[in-house]
Amino acid sequence: MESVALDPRDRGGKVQPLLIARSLKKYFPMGRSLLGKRSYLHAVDDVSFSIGKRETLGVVGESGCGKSTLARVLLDLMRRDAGELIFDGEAVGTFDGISRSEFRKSAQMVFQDSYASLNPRLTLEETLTFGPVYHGVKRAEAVTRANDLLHMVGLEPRRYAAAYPHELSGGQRQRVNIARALSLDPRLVVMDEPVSALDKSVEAQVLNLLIELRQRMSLTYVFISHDLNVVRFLSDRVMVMYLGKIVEIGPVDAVFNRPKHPYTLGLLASRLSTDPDRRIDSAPLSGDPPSPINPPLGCRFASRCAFTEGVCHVRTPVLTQQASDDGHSTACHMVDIGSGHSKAAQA
Amino acid sequence: MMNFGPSLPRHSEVTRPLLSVEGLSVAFPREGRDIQVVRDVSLSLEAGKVLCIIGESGSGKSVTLRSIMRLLQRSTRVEGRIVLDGHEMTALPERRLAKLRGPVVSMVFQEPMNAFDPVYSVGEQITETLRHHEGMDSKAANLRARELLDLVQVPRAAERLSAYPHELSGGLRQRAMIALALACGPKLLLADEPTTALDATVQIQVLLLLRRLQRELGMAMIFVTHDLAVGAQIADDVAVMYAGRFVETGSAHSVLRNPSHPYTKGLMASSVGDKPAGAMLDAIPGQPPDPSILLPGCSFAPRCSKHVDACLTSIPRPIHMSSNHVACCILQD
Repeated sequence: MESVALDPRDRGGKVQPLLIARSLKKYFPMGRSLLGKRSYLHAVDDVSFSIGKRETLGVVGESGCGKSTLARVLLDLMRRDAGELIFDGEAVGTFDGISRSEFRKSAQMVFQDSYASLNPRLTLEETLTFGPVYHGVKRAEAVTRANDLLHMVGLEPRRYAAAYPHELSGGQRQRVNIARALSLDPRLVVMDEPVSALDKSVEAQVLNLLIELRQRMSLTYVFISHDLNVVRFLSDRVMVMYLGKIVEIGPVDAVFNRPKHPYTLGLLASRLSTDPDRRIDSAPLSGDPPSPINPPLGCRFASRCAFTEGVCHVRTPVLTQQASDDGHSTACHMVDIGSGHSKAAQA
Repeated sequence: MMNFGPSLPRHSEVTRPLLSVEGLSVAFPREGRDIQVVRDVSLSLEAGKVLCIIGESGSGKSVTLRSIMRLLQRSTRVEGRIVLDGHEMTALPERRLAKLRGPVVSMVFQEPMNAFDPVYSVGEQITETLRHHEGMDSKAANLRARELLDLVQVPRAAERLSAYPHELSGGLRQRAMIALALACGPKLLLADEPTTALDATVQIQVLLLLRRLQRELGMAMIFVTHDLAVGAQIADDVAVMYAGRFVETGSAHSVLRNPSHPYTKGLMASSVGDKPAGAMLDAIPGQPPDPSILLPGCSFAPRCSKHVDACLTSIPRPIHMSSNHVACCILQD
């Protein structure tokens, strides 16, 4: 990475991760059984990771794996049930750390549904000045900035500043959402499937914009998507989730080229090629992801895994660092020395 | 007019295709004028073949599909001929049409949750179809419904018959809908983005299932998708649709490996695929046109980097790139 001018907001220094998530948990109560035992949906279950400054972390997984809940918990849009968030060395929402309001200025979100996430009664200029004015920026200054932002995301301000969301196409609305996320000059932007609702020809435009803005504004991204190709293209590191847990995390090259978890292998092998000569003849994984309500003991992937053994149903595998020492970790008994799985090296 | 159906007969004996569509145009009346969503589409499909219509939202791909089964509102203006298994679909009275839906043609939708009735079990909905169309008694219908769920690889089929749609996972629900669509053994299955809402690991399972069933049952299929890769996985022939027209048609192999229309080329170039990380993508500029504004020439011209003046004034005619590959572009003329 090229050398960068020191960001005055950088309090923790270069090696301090921008965000550390420690043992995050979010359970949703679902109802009671006949005996009065409450069941819970384990959306995010003891998830820990960190994101370096100016790094893009991709998050992949299937529906129900908790990636959208994770996004909301990360930005404190949803109260976590347990765990802590440390932003540039300071704990979020604690007495001696960074206040929640201050954190929210520095960490913003882009949602999947570009229409539902904009207020239909506000013009684009009003949308883009709303946050800054709330946070104490003078109106005139906010307006100037709003126009700059519109220009930056490729919407000519003279034409679009007074427009309403319904007058725009999906791609244009997503540009507005990106501009709004940037209106407070954040350091971290969390994006939940920002291009999945867009047509393919428009998706490429928005991806180009995201790359350009990341460079220009020294941004750190958390990029959530079900599209592995897009994640590989945009991310430095990638995190694979399954039923509320991280099953594999590491540098993009390591995870995509040397995947260790059977689920990651299955996901990667399910990618379709645009070349009709490279068709897939048999499904890499069978079945659907099971329900995240009261997940089974042991490894949550055991019901779909081809290598399941006794230990997988009994003990929950923990995220274990690979020997490569590049931060590539996997939560699978097969890579855990001495786990008792026949494919694991014995201690 | 010339027929540039994607599957021109390749054998010496010319057989009548299962489906032939000629000059199909569909318009929705809106505020006193017509909004043209499908424009002069022609295709022919042989029995047992899979045609994939690839296009973005608003390109008219779903409307084309629905007009084959006549599922459009009465106010819709449909022109052209649709002949399916010897029946003139556009002229058929409603009652005779109802008899064809099921045994001749049936449809699978993107959202099985919306296609199923939430207050009846999956089994009830399949047996109702069997009793109505095939005249089975409830015992025979039950037996057949179970066979159908087995056929689409729903595990524990007997148990699942009494499940309500919301009790099934997305993948199982889509399998159940395929079972329903196959209940009367249609000759043509219309599939409208049936795997778009599914997760990647489930999508490939359903695509492989559809392809296997289609082969085993000798059924033809028209599969609508926005995803080139889905087309590459499942199609014999593809038709790329843009702003209501087929802009490129031909064998999947030929079109997807050697795209000739600038739009198809652009879609290929702009998809991330295995491009190096962080490089800029060759995005197609602009956005698909508003269907209420009709351009006189090629609809793609305003976004096409190679367009010449003639593109803006005259509609490009179909040019044969090879015996089974046609592109509608002046640059190929």
